[in-house]
Amino acid sequence: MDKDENRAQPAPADHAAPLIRPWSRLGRQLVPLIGEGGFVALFTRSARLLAPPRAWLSVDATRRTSTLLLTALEQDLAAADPQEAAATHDELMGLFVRQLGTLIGPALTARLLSETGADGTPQKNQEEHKQ
Amino acid sequence: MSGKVTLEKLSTGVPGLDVLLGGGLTEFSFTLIAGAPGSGKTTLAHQIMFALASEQRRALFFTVLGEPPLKMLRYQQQFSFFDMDKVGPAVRYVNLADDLRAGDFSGVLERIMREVEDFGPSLVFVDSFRSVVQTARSGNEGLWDLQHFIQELGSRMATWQATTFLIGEYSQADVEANPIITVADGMIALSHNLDEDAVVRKIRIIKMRGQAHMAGAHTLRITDDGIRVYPRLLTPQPDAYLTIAADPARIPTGVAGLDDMLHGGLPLGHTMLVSGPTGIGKTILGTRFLQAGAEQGEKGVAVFFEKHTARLHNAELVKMVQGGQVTVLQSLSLSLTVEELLDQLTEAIDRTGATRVVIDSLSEIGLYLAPEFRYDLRVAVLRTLSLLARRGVTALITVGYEDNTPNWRFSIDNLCFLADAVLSMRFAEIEGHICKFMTVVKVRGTDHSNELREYRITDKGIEVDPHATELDALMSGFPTRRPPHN
Repeated sequence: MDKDENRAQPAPADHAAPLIRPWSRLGRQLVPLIGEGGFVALFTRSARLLAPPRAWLSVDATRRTSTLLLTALEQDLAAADPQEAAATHDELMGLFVRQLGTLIGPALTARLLSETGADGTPQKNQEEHKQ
Repeated sequence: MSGKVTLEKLSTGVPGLDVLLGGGLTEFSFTLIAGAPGSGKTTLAHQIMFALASEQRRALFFTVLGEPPLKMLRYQQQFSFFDMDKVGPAVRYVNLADDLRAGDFSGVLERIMREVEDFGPSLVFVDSFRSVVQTARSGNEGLWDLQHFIQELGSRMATWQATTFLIGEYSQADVEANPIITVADGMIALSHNLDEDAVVRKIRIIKMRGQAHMAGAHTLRITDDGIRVYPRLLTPQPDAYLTIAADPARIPTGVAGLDDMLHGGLPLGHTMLVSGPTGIGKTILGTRFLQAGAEQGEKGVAVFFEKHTARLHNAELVKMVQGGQVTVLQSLSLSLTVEELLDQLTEAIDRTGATRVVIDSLSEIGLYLAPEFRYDLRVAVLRTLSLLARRGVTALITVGYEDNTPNWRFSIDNLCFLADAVLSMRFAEIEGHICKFMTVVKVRGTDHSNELREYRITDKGIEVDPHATELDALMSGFPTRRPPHN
């Protein structure tokens, strides 16, 4: 038996958990700033732009809070092929950040998201930034 | 030592506002910024916030149900005062819409306190406070809730030693009956007044506890740099009564005969009003005045209210403009405020180092001015001349009027009293010809000719006779030739 065959196949949720963490950080950073309504509007629009070729990515206008949106996203990512889930996550995050950048400019977007890792920079411990 | 508490003043960073406030905003005060939508409340709050905020003095900006936060950030960053580097370490935005939707004031208060304790701000802004008020329950219960909320907020922020601003869409009438005004230490009201299709923005300090503020409505402008307030004050001239110009330096006017009548030229720093009917040569005299400066290496500024630059048929003037010796200012706005005019004039004088200014003419300026400035043209002119005097420039200002012989007048609206010197130019019918005459009516602080001299406009400019006219009763409209002396 090949060594690789002995390796346990990851549970569906395992590949989704690390993908959803940046979204949770993004939500924690942005919701206080732009409100649930602002976050939901941006996320839903990004998902709508991305969804057509990915039937498994659900878009539901009745999800009115960031928690509902991210729970559904996690479930969608978990049910998808891990590679496709990772690629979709990257695209969705990029689209979300670009949408935000279109509204408030790339400089302010980068500034607001620098602590979340959503702009590609490593996440910092938020506590370091508080006094 | 009196032992009284000292009220520290915070400079708002809004040009002119500290003058109205009596030196700045009192630290730890609770100020209401009120005004109609579009009057500049959020911009004023942001300008103050970015001027004052630092990592040592942090600012917390609560947005409620008014302008969506994303749009607010989108538009506010267009102003030059919006310092991106401060967002995060010195300025934090928090949206309270979801907390308020629950309709529970105590919940909102607790959320505000949590954020305050977390970020430790010295400045707190709530925009818009009106939307907070509108979520109150109806009737006495709602009013009590609101009063309690405001009282608590004011008291907690003061204890926290945070200077606090509530921003809301209030009119004067709303506020007088509102519990907020009782609790607030200060109230700044913004408005935009519509008069004959022209809008002029105004600011009033209605209340400011503990300090003497300037009452009354003052003009404000919103530009790319944010808000600028124009207190209704003249430009100060601290040395006005400390020096005596016994023998003032004189500068050539560009018309040799006029210099002769002025006994050597126009005193430096004087403003000469040149008055007369249409076609008498006022604009040509203005051009000669600028040309005389240019010949000596001086820069000039010409403010025209008569014709478009493209129609300047005065070749000498065009040449000076092309050569950079003269800067022409023209307003395209027909709702011009005096403040805009003075800003443009100041900028042009400072930028070019101009020592000569021509304004042509005060009789047409009213076509451009917003009604409130047109109604009181004398105040507008007084403020302009005060600025020119403070800058030390020498100015020639024209004013036209309908000729109405024999009625002899020196200006419209008694403007002649505001000038240092007055030159009167007028027509008279002599033996089948319309002839031109001029006389120096006044020059402050120095003697001058009192002769009435005939002059002609030729290719060489304005040629003034070297002696007084030989006609008597010229100004009566029925001149007679003076009999020769025996």
